[in-house]
Parts: sequence; C-alpha cells; structure tokens
Amino acid sequence: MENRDEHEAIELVEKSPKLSVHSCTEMFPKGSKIRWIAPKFSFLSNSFATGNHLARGSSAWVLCARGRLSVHLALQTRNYPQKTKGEIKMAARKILIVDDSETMLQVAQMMLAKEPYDLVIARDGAEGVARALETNPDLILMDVMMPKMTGFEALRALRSNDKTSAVPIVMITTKAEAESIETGYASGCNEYIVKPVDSVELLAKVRSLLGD
Amino acid sequence: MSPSGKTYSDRMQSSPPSQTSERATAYLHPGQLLVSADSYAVTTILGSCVAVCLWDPVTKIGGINHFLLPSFSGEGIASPRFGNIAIKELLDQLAQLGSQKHNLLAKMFGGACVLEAFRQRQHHLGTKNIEIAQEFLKSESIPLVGHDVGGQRGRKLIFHTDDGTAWVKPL
Repeated sequence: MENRDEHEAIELVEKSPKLSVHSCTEMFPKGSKIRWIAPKFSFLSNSFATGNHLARGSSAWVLCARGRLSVHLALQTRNYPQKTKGEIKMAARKILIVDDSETMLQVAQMMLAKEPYDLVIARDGAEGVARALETNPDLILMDVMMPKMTGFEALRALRSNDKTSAVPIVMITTKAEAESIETGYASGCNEYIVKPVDSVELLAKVRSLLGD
Repeated sequence: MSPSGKTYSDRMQSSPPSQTSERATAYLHPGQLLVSADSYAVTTILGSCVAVCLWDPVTKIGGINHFLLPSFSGEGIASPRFGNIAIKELLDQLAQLGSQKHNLLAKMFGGACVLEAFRQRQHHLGTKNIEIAQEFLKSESIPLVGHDVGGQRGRKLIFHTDDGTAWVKPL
C-alpha cells in the first residue's frame, strides 16, 4: 500500500495484530479514535482507540486478520481537527536540560530519546536562563553546580520572570547537594533527583510533571 | 483518608525537635531507608516522594524509608526506590531487630503534587506513592497514626527512631 503521508504512517507487524508506529511526528491523545483511511485487507474492525499517547515507537492493538503483512498505512484521527494533510501537528513537549557535564547531557538525552519530547540543551546556569526565555520549555532539568550561574541562582532568576515563573523545574543534584535541596524548594524548584540519575525515576517524574 | 488531607497525630510536632547529645543525626536520601535500635534524628526532604515511618512502642525501635516510585514493575533494578519494596524492606529490618509487626505504628509523609495545574489529577506520581503506602500498611494491618501527605509543597521531615516523633516543615 502506498504510504500516503509519511507523517502519519504506521507499519503492520508481520504475523501479529499488533501495530507499531513506524513514523509519526505528532502525538495522538489518549483515547483518540483512529481509523484507516484506505485499508486494502480485511479488518474485523476498522477502528481502534489508543490506550496511550501514540507516537513514534509506541504500539497499539487492533482487531484484524492475522497474516503476513508488512505494509505502511495512512491513518487519521477521528477526534482531531483535520486540516490539509501534514498540517495536523501537535507540538512535542519541550524539555530544557541545563548541565555543564557533557556526559550528563548525553545520559539525559539518551534516557529521554524514546519519548516524544523536543530536547533543548544549555551548558551553564546563565545559558539555561537565556534558553528558557528564548524557547519557552514545558519542563526544565537543572543541575546545581555549574559555572557562571549555579542551578539555584538560575532557578531564582527563572521564578522571578513572569515568562518562566510557572515552568516545572527539577533540580538534579549530587548527594551532598541533595542535603541543601531545602534551599531549592525555597527558591521554587518542583522536584529533585539525585545523581546518578535513574531512567525509570527520571521518566516517571518528567511524565508526572508534564501531566502525561 | 484523603490524599490531600492533613491530620496531625499527637506524636507529630509542629516545632523543630530538640537535639539531644545522645541522638545521632542522619540524612536520608531518596531510595534509602534507615532502621535502628539506637536513637537517630533522621532528616529527609520530600516532594512527590513518600516516607513511611514505623515505630515499635514496645521495643522503642523505629525506621524510615524514602521512596520515589510506587511499585516495582520489573523495569530497572528492584530497590527501595520503589514503595512496595521500600516498605517491605523496612518491615523486614525491623523484624530482624526484634520488632513485632502487631506492635508497629505508622506515619506517612510526602506525596506532594507541586503543580497547581495537576492538583486535581488522581494519578499524579505523588498520589500513586501515597496510595501504594496506604494499601501496603492496610494489608499488613499496621495502623496509620499520623500523616501529612498530598498538597502542593515539598516537605522537610525529621523522624526520631527512638520515640516515633515526627516533625514536618512545609517548604
């Protein structure tokens, strides 16, 4: 089958009614009804509801006949405002990661890579504040000890600016810094994570703070 | 019990506990727990995390955990970072020190939902952490004699292992 829209294509996994998202640049909200635009084989049902956000790398189950099928399918969401093709886009949530450690930046990016987030990087507190004001992130992950401006100083600067005063901020601390995280809460941080960062914990806190 | 409600028992103090020279101090990091027959003043800082404090009034032994996530689902390493493991570990260590489960009293703190926009959400991480602790304590028939959970602010908690006293400061 012709791939009708590369932004909204999914691939049917062989020998299984499980469908995985092959290519997708938008997120379909939980509970969205999705139907095939032009199925060329029989389905027991031509629609299904997503159990979660459907994005690149996620999967869903549909009622369909089993068989050796490996095709690309175009789909559209029933509940979505349908404009012209390729224009139905919900911006991915933006996360600003502020850390002077290249290793930590890479680790955080790796942990969040499978999620539908746009990642923005800053390498010190001052750059973090500037990037936050410039890019309007939905969430900020902030190291504490950084050159030019510490995480706590950056936190206070962000909280005092109307544009960033309500953005969720997670401080990423060492064990020693965690003992002074009381200062972080007093300055307006929403959560803290102690290094070494655990991917399960990071994702759980990020999802929770983003309302996922 | 409402996750967002606040109930102070007679064993929760509203002013900082006095430090005595014989009471050692310890800071509890997320994912850790401390159980001791000695006198400790244990401090920890909670956001959406939850701390369960158990105290045995017969043996005067107490312990506290600080968990980040509700329950271990098989992803990652099973550790006291997860509520179901952290509370079980707390019970096991208290038992090893001679504490009887039927004597234990529990207190629970934390589980804040720090963002106004998500306060009404039922499945926020903090709420899930509170729920898993409530369920676990109920299943073990351990009475919850004090709690300060939910809300939208972080907390500083100090727990005394020798007398079960807890002090909470909203952050």
